[in-house]
Amino acid sequence: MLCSAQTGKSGLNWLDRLRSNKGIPTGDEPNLDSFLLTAHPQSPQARPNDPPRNPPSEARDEPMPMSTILAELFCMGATLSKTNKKCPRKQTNPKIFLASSATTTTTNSKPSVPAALPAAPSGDPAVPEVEEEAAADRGEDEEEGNELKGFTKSEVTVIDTSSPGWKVDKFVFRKNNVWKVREKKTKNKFLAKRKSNSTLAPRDVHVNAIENSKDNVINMRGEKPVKTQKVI
Amino acid sequence: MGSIRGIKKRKKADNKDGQDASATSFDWWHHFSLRISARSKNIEKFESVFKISRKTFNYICSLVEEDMVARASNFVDLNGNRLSLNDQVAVALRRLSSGESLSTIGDSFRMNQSTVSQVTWKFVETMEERGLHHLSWPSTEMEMEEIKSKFENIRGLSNCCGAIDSTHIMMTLPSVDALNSVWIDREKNCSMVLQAVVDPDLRFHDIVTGWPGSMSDEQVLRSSSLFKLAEEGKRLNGGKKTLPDGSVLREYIIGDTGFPLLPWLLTPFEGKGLSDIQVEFNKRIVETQMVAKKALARLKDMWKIIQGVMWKPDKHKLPRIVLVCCILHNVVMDMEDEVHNDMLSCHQHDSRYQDQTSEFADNTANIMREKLSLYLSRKMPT
Repeated sequence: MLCSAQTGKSGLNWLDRLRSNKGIPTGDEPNLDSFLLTAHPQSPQARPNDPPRNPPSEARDEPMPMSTILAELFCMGATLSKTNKKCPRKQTNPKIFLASSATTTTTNSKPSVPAALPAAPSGDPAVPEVEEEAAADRGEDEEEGNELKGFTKSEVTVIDTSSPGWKVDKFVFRKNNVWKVREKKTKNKFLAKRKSNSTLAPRDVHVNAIENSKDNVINMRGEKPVKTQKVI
Repeated sequence: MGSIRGIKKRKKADNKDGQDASATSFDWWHHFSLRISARSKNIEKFESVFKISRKTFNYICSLVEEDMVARASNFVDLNGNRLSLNDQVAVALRRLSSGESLSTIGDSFRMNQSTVSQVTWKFVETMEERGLHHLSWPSTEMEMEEIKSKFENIRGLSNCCGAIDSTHIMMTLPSVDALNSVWIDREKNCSMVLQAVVDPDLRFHDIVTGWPGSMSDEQVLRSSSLFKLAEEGKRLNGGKKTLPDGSVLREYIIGDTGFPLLPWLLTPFEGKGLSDIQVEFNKRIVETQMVAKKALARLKDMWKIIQGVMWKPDKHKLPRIVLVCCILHNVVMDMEDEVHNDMLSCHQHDSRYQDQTSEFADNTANIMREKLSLYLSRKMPT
């Protein structure tokens, strides 16, 4: 909606230029609007590369001469900077373009953008991100061993004045009411990532000193832990 | 008791940039107060701004002087004046004690809020290194005996070496997603846990912080070095006391029902149908353990940055800020600073939180608690 208002506003300048430069007759406003709407899904990053390419095939059918004229206009210095400013804002909300423009043109011109959109429900963009992060964490967990599968990992800095180091970075793995704590190796992050298998596994912390359990498994709210122990 | 080691160092230190706290202390506050009160034209007393005495302030400056001066910095106020050591310590102490926002402190101290932030963090980093000796487990027998004696004077608990309690440092998080849910505690607040062992003078001798709020008091305890050391017999392993019936009472600390009953950690009796002796013992425990609650209440009251709900703090920096607040708490005690004494009244440090309950009870500890409660009822009948 915002887009259509903006295009309507700036359309006058375009038409003025078109009419003065190329002598196109008046009364083509609906066609121009529809063309602009179909042309927008091209990402602003791709645009500088696009003009040399052929325009979308379907757009060629009817307004072929118009599209070339418009392509020239897009490349004009002042107009280019203006569109560059506006396009990223529009691009962040591509639903509008999908709804208003024909899907055939978008799939032809730039398949990557619309392809991702139907997969992601348009409601909340944060949800997939969270899932991705969670999935990445789970992936790491799997690398560290099946025992941590499904655990959520959090990195914490713990101050313990009775500990010789008094400040330690640790990983807290939590799955429902079961907790595991492992010490984070204080090495370069790059090395730590590469050697995640070898660094984390042997550094299990026996902070609880509970029985002989290797991991620090803690039960919460009275539910049964994975490994039995005397806690709670 | 923490020694005041920094004073000698300060005396030896060069008077760099004319920043010697003792030499220029009066002049510094005079000029500084004029600077910060330029708008109100009403010069406040030092103690009302910082809630500590000048003596304590000077000592804190001497503690951090070496490191903070050594790190070349170009902190300036809005007029371009370079911030002296005293200026920087004043800004950091104000930020920690008032809990006011960076912009508020920046406005009142007439400096950019990013300067306030950087100066405060620099102070925190320095103080945690230089001041940590103020927060340590009693190192000598004499020191521990003094603590035991003071605990016994409260409600008769013999051989008690400390009182333990936990509190929550509340905060808001950028988003409550799966990864942040670990910080949501039982009261549905985002928080970080602070566990402290306190002596009768409200001084901290052991703290653990940084664990997420969803962990219970018992879980935090079991993850601590205190737990490990005590279980291994490396802590609370000093002088034992023989009760009249011949049984031996080892050193122990006391906690509330959220902590497990262990041979070195005594908690109140729980359940219905308690005997008079057990009820009386519980009163003694609760009244004695009050020192821990008072200490935590005082900590939060004096260092307000950890009192309210912190706005999206860095979870790796927050524990270090908490540590420095605890160190400063002890420094004030060690300096016998009485400025804040009249301000302390309540013992509520976690008012929105219900008591936790641990169901773990060690058999040996159970027997020891029974014997101690019996001994106390005979020795000190109510």
